[in-house]
Amino acid sequence: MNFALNLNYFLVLAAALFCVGIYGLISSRNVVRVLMSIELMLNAVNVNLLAFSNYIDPQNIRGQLFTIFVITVAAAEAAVGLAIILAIYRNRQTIDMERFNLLKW
Amino acid sequence: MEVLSTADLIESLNLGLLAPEYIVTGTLIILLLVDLIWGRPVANKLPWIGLLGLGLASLALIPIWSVSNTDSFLGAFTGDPLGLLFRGIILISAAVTILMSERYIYQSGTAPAEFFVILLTATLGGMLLSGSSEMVMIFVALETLSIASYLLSGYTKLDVRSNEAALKYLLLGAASSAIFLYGMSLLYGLSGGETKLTEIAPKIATMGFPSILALVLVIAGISFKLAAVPFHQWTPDVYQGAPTPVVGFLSVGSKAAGFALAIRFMTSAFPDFATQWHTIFAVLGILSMILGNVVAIAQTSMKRMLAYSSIAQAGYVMIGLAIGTPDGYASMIYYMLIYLFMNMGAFLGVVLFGLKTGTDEISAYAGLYQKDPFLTLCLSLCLFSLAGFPPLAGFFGKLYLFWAGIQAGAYTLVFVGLVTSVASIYYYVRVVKLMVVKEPSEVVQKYTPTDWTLPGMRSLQIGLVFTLVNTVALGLASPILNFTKDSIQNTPILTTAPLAKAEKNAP
Repeated sequence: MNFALNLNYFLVLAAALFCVGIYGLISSRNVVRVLMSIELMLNAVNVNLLAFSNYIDPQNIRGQLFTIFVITVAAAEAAVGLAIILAIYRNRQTIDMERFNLLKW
Repeated sequence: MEVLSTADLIESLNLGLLAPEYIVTGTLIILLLVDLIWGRPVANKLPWIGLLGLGLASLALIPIWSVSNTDSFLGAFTGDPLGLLFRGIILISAAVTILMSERYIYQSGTAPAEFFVILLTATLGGMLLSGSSEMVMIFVALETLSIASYLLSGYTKLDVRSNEAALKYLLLGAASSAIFLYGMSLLYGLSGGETKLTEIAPKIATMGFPSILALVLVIAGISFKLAAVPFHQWTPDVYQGAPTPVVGFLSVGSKAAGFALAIRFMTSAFPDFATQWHTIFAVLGILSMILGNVVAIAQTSMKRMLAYSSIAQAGYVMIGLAIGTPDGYASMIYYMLIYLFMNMGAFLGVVLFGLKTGTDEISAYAGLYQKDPFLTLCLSLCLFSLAGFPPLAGFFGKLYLFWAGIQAGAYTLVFVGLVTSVASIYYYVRVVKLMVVKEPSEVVQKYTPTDWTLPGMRSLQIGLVFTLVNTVALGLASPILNFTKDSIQNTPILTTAPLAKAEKNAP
């Protein structure tokens, strides 16, 4: 058997990570966990980009560049997310998703 | 690889095309510095600095019009007429948002400088998004717009509703941008390492299922920005909870950026999958028109009703995208321009009423005519225009959209559009009838005449008159439609893609 790493393994790993992220997104009640799930989804994208960059585009490595931008933006997004969670925690003393139901029709 | 000298490199970047963006960036830095140095005493000057910057940026759009080489930053940014029009729409919507937010911020006691800076950041993101044609650029511009929008919708941080709106917007927005990114990472791999949209297109043309998967993921990400059903769940919550001026910007500026992105991404990266994405957008459009208009009928909050109405309006605009003819694109832009004024006008009315009474319940508007005929007139005209009554601008906008639809043979779409427009008349006119016919509600009985000399009220008045005049006059100004048609003709990505032009798709 050939155990050399090929592109498919990385793509499957990324897809699995992405699905774990989506599962966490819809099943978590704690807002911080939801935020972490979103980070998982973004990291799945990073794995994808890096794998493609390594196997398909080793000359220009545009994927690696893209990943740097994704990491940076994800950090900004997490910072804003935590700030909003902090603001809501100060007002409501909870970070349970199911208690945030003021806005409903 | 040839080595360029520094001068050649700078020359090849074609920096001039982003002049409006530089001005917006400069303005937001100046705003920050002015606030830092002089602080509170100059707080009432800040909106005018912002407006001046936006005005200059709009003027800077004009010379770019006739530029022949539209590639900037080595193809990452395209300054074609399509992008220019959308950048103009976003600039105007930001300007009107500043006009309506001055008094709102003053009364809510929050810091004005940061608000305008974040608003200008969102504007910058939207403008860059309208022109980006390379995936890294698209992602960064999209996130600039999104993160600024999250901050704006949570701006009144002591208000629990605003917190909740911001949180929901952030979580759903981040998730949808992750899905969008996943689609883009697949495109990067499928195209063999290309990130420019126009270079992706020929490489993925022959790949079947994987490309369709990427297409679907990308459309899911974009549809979130457009608030198309079924990616609309955040819209009513965010619109109800966020500060009203912000909602005005989200419903027009952010949506316009989304449509610019949709047109550019679809026509330049997926010209060979035109049938598929036409069908997807047709389905999204039909669902948006039906759900938006039907659920709006049941609303009791004015802001929530306008949220569903904006979902429906986005559905009408999607007709243009789903048929994918030059006329369709032209009428989309024309409708976005009209929608900018009529929707902003409606939100200006809601802001004014909310500031004076502190509520946005529809029932509170009863009998407003007896106390404030001017506000009633503004709101009524804007709502009539949204419903599509002739001779207001909204009627002509819809007329051209539906006409483009019929010419392209998309009878189902136009039929759904017509039927749901008729249904929409009910909930728009209900508000007008309530204001004019009914006895004053308790809230309105305590209503005092508006004092336009209070701080920030003058800009609100200017905004109301400005949007009102445009809502009435824009429909009668047919040069604007011809102008949008010309600009579509001059946009290479929309005219060189033969498939997109010849496709006739009537689902």
